Amino acid sequence: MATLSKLRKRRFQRAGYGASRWGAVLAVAVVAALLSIAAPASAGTIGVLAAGPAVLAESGFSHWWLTPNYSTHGDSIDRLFYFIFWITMAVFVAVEVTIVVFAIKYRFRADRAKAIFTHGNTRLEMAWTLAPAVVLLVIALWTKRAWDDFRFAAWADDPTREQLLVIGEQFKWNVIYPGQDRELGRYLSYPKPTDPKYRGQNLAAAMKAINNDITANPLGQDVHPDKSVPDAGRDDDTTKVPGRPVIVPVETKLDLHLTSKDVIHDFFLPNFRVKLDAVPGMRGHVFFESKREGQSTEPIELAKVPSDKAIWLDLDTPGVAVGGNPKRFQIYDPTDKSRGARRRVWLQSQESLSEGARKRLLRKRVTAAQMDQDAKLLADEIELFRADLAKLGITRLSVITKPHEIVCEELCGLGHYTMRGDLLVVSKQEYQNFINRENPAATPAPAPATQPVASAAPAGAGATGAVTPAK
Amino acid sequence: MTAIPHPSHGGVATHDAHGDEHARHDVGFVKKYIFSTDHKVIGIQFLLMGLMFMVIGGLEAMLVRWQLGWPGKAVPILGEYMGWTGGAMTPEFYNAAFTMHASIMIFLVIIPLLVGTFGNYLIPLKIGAADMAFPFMNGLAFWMAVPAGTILSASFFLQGGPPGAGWTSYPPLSSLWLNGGTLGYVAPAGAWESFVMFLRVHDADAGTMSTWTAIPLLLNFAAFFGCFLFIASYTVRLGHRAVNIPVAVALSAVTAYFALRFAQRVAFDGQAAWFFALFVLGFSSILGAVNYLTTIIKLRCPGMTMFRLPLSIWSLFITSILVLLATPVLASVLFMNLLDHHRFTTFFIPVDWVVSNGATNTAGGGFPLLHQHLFWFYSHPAVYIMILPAMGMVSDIMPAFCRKPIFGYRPMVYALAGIAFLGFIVWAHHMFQSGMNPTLGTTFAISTMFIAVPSAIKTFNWLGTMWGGNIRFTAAMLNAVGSSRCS
Repeated sequence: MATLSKLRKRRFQRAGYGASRWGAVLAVAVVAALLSIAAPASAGTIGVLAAGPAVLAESGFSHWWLTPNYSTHGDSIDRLFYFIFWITMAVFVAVEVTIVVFAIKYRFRADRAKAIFTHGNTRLEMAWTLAPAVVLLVIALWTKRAWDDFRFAAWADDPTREQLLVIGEQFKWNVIYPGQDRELGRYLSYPKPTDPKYRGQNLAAAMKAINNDITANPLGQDVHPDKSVPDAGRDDDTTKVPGRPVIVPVETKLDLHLTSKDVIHDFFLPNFRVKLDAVPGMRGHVFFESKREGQSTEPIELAKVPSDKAIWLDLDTPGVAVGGNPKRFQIYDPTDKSRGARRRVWLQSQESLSEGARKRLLRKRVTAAQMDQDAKLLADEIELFRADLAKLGITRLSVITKPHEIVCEELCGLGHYTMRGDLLVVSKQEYQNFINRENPAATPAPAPATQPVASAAPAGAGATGAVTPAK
Repeated sequence: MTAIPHPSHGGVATHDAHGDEHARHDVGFVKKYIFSTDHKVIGIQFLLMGLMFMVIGGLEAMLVRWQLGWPGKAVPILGEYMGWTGGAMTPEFYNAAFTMHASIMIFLVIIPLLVGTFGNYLIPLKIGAADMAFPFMNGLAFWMAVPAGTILSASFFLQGGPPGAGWTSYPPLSSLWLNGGTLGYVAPAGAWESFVMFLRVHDADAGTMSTWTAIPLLLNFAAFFGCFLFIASYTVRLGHRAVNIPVAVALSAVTAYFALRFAQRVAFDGQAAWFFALFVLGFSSILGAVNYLTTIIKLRCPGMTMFRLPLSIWSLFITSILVLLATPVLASVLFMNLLDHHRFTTFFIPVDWVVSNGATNTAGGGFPLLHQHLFWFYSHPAVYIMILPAMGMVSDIMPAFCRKPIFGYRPMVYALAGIAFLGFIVWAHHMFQSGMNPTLGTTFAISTMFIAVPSAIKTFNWLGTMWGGNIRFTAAMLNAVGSSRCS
């Protein structure tokens, strides 16, 4: 037996350069370990592919695979992604396996007389030049189709498309909605020291005055001062405070104008496969349309409305009125008969029930510390709040269950990592009410609501299981 | 001729490069090891510079990782030194960390190591030449890279810190000032401060002085001094060595002083230092490229036809063409950015430019995308500049350890040429979402698809080299096999 093991040792040693026989064993072990890791991962991949984005639709986020897609052009992009992914995966695996096989098969063996002396093989070269070229040509053509779908939208000149203007700045997004004329005005027109307005002042004084003017008009809105002159921007919905959410209607062809005040930002909607740099001095156009599944708002029975989710108030909801500055939809306390800004507000649009309940508690002289100590205080108030809302005639509320994120994807300075915005996809009627809220009287009468009218619905009857989206 | 001048003989280069071994020893330590024109010494100088900067760039990467792994946690040593609240990294430092990591690694590590070291060391040896075609210019290329490195390092010490606009430094973000400019004048207290003040640009009457502190001033003075002394040591030939050396030293010191003052005015904040440093580095690269091309074309030994060149030399040859054609575009965009940064021009600054709701008093009229086009027109070939030498080396290492020739030598050469040529028409694949005309996006996507073909040819040829071989897995071979998968 000693002789046998010595023979075995010598055979391994004869393998020559180093202990390449052991090297082969090691290589096989490593490959086996990798495969054992890869197998469950790929099973997970297949599972995800099979189940599709439905699995991840809850959160709108994905930990390691594609985010769910809610846009109409996004599916073609995703299909292209899978196509390229699997082709490159196949080539990758083939090349890796080949390397490993060759490394083992052609390792140095003292009993191998010589390497196979060859300078190449022209036919093989042609084959492995043409094959990738053909595959890449197919990918290139498919890419062109997906790209054109996104960038050259068919509705780019359609006058009925919904337009809005998004202006990026460090480090928030501004959004401007056209008024009822559906036309945007002129923006980013800032004063210069050479303007006649500053004539007679020295540069320092002029700059100071200009800075004040910019603070008063941060988006550089240029509206003709004479009200008798028609100007598209006069009825635009702008605000001086950046960072409000971008509201868009579902299943509507959108044309989102994009620009920036200061540096290059990037408007990225992961869930819509939308991405475009916001470049100062340029006006870009983002075309997309949200599928029905992308709608952020969902009508939910009042009793089942989660207390921590923001609520989208709409004119169609009983008890809602337009108020506040800037104008928004609010539910006022019906017992409060005062007028104007002093009226108590129970709930503002995009607040949650628990936030409204918290404010009510604060008005009832309950301190925040007490609320933190005893969670029951807030929970009870939320139920009271629900009951009060039901008394107003509200049976269901539009809850923002699926807000989407706007991510800035171009380094824009110190706060780039904080620059995120919200995109809310609301129903078409909600959008109409929203952009007409400055002039609610001008709102066309809403189409007969599919939800039962408030006063006719006591608790039991109206609470059908099916939740129909508001039109 | 590749004769190396010997100033000890009165500056007349009459020696045959192959003969008279005694004459070589008369060069002296400084000319032999520091201000050398020998390609091997210069290659090692590039190696040392590249490795030194790799440590710095690597530390920057570690800082980025620290913030990503433990955001808000106190950074050891650096947190206290920088005086951060709680020792935690500030956002501006994080931006600066990844900017400087990338800039140092690309411009001061990979290109000097792969193109500078391996090119300098290997080209004459592998083509059978005695030295490069222009040995003095070879040394100048190294000695110009040193001040470029120190100017970039100076940005760490300037007010506002290193630039934080990314290594791509897109304007208008890179046009913003990093709290730079000038400091208020502080009169020097002692002898040391007087010396530093002497080096520093200052105007006591106006009450301003440059933001350069002692460390960047001294580092840069030394670097400029070294660069000019190199030039002087080969150009100052007044007679005896006893005259040449002091005159050279004095001339270099004076020129270095004025160069330092100039650098301070140009590089008043970190971003300007970045632009200026890379501008100087570009000259170094171009000189190197001219040298390599001339050497490979003209100095091959008899019998060494182009299609007998080792593939590593082919790759360096083609890399040098890329450097020659692309780097001037980088130089132009850096120069324009520098002018914009000083607010002399508005090449990239648009009209109605407002930052933080404050007026900028610039006329504007520029186009931010112009920078991107020009920058990427260099930077895409730059990535090929970085990888082609490595591919060439893999193509030389594999046959050695597979014991058979490279599979498909000519196709490999054509693939190198194809990658290089196609590399010039794909730059806007870095700009698909930039807001440029989408039709351009289509064209660049298609050309980008096709650049995969020559790269695939190279990978398959490496596989073909392994096939049928008798492979010895040395460290070099393992590296080569690993690299072959990554292309």
